[in-house]
Amino acid sequence: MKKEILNKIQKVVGKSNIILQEDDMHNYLTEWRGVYSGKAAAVIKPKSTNEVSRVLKIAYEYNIPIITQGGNTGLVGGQIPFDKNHLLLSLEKLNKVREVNNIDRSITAEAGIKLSELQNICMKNNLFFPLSLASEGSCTIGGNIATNAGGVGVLYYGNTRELVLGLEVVLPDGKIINNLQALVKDNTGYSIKNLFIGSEGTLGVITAATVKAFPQPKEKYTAFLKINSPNKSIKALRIIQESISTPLTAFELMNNRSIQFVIRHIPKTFAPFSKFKWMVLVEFSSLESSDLEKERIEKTLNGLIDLGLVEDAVLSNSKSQSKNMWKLRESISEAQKKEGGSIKNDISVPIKFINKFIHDATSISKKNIPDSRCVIFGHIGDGNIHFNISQPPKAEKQEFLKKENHLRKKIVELTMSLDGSFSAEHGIGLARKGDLKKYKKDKLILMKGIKESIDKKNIMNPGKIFDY
Amino acid sequence: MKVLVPIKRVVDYNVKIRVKSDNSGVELSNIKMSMNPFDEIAVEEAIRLKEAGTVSEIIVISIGPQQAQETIRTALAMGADRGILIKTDELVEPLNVAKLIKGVSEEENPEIIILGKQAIDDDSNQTGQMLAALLGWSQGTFASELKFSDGKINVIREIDGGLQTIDIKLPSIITTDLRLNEPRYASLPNIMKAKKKPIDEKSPEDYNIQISPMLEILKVSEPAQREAGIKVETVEELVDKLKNEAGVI
Repeated sequence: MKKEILNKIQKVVGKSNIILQEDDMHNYLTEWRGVYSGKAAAVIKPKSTNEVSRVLKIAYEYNIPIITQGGNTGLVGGQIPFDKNHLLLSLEKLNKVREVNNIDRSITAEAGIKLSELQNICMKNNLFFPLSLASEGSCTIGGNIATNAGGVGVLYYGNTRELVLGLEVVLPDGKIINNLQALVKDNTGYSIKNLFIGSEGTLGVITAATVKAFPQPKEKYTAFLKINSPNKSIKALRIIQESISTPLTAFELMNNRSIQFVIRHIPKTFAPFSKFKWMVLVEFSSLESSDLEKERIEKTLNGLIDLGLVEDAVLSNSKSQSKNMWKLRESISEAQKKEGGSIKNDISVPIKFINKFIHDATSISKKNIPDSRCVIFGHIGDGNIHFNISQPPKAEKQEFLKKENHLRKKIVELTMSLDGSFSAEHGIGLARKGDLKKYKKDKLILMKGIKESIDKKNIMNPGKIFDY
Repeated sequence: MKVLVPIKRVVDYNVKIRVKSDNSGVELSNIKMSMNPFDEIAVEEAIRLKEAGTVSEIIVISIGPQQAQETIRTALAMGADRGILIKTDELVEPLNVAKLIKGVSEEENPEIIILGKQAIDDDSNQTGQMLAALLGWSQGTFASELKFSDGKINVIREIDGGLQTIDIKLPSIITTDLRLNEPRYASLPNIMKAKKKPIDEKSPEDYNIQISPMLEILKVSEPAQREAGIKVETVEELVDKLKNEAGVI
């Protein structure tokens, strides 16, 4: 890339906010699992929306592609540039909180703020921000919005999309569109905000957002249910929702294998049951702490045992125990990494097909790789299952991964035959482009039209979602 | 063999505590309360001893307000057999607690009393030792492992920089350290059963003890805020700052 362009950009962000040496870019160019490794002309770290706008103006003038990155925790490669002539725009320094508003119950923050920090700031202000996912210590709210992140709170609070009230975005030519008002009702034509949510950096740069906050729950009831089949877990879920008015904020299914891996690799973890096939992590969040409520929950869960839906159950009696329970759930990905190669599927199906999906997908894995080990867990209440296949214990990782494309194709075929989605919460990026082309032709044409009208020069994260 | 396990209701370990604005104490209203974590380890150890056949009955005692009954229920749900609540709304201090436990012990005649080594609210770390002195029993404090053999307990103690192994003769006081065990979750069927287990309600007067505090709390304050660090450019600058600003060299 021409020196004069980089000089111009350096003038905007300052010398300490541009990385030109390849060695220093490593953390930005490599995704955490090491699956994607890219290249770029420079990493640029603007500190304000105005700086983002000025950088984009320069890039627009010289036709230089921009790949926007938050916490670099994406799982489909969307945040990585792969060209020496592209610029990586890291928003890590665009991270201020602009307003905490207890009256509108909203918070306006810049895109680069870490999700965990946003949660903490809400807590300090006696508010609660419900978006929660395993990478919350690294991922940023901008990245969450650009990918419409899901996570463990979706069952009650919804996806990121449901939590965003307003956005500030910078268009490819540098024009700033400010739409940050905390309005619940705003029917003034197309919802531009919703267009940018989940756009994965292909339309412009999200620089700030106003998000919804909630009253802080005072009490949480966390439990593990021991269950014989996914089908029974869904029946149990419906009974819980019909009998308890306390918000059910988590219902996470895990198979025995996933917990086995966690206990093997993560220190200070132990299984709550000596033997089990499936386990569900259940959590209720309440604004009050009352014996009556606790008793109702205990009675209902115990009733599930009487009905034969649940084999056994344990309830936490302190925050430490709740934390330990969540640790089992949240360590699954990390533990699985230590078991060698894995083929990951982030799918969703209508809830009525969950049992069939799990059954058939397990057969597919066993048929193709007899000793493969299925790690199955997920937000069962939203129909979202992580169906990850770990290599046989003694197999060669590379040999195993050769079957990735074939296996994934079969599982996507199964998902689509059950009216599901081949990417429930991780997005398209690079990894799911092929599936999008194959299964969503009409949608892709419509999306292309939108992309071309906003990003005329195709410089916003080119090659992601779309082929060109 | 009977075992007595005294347990305390304290602010949950994971709650970020706030000091009251008049500095008279810690804000307790609308705060999540749980069993003192060291006491939870004591309850777990007692249950394991019962499961191993060493112990025949587990009695838990709590001294505190009416709500301490919830803490007793938790222990009963984990597997204790029955509870005794000595009701008082006063602030309890180690010596009074030790005297009350002595009173219960004289009625119940246990051979072991297992206590947490300290409560996480006042961090006193005194009750077990005072109780041993009042009863004239042997004591194995800061235990991280227990082995029983006729009339004796082999105790591994956590001491500064290492471990100490001792043999003590029953009857004994044991105080628990963190590594002794990992407390179990209460299972739902056991939570339901625990609702029917008996809890005796007593008052300090039943044991002829007056709960009058011997200490007067003058002031409670938060730790000083740590100041943000700075980056220095050169070694010379660092040395200069250590000498002239921090005054440490």
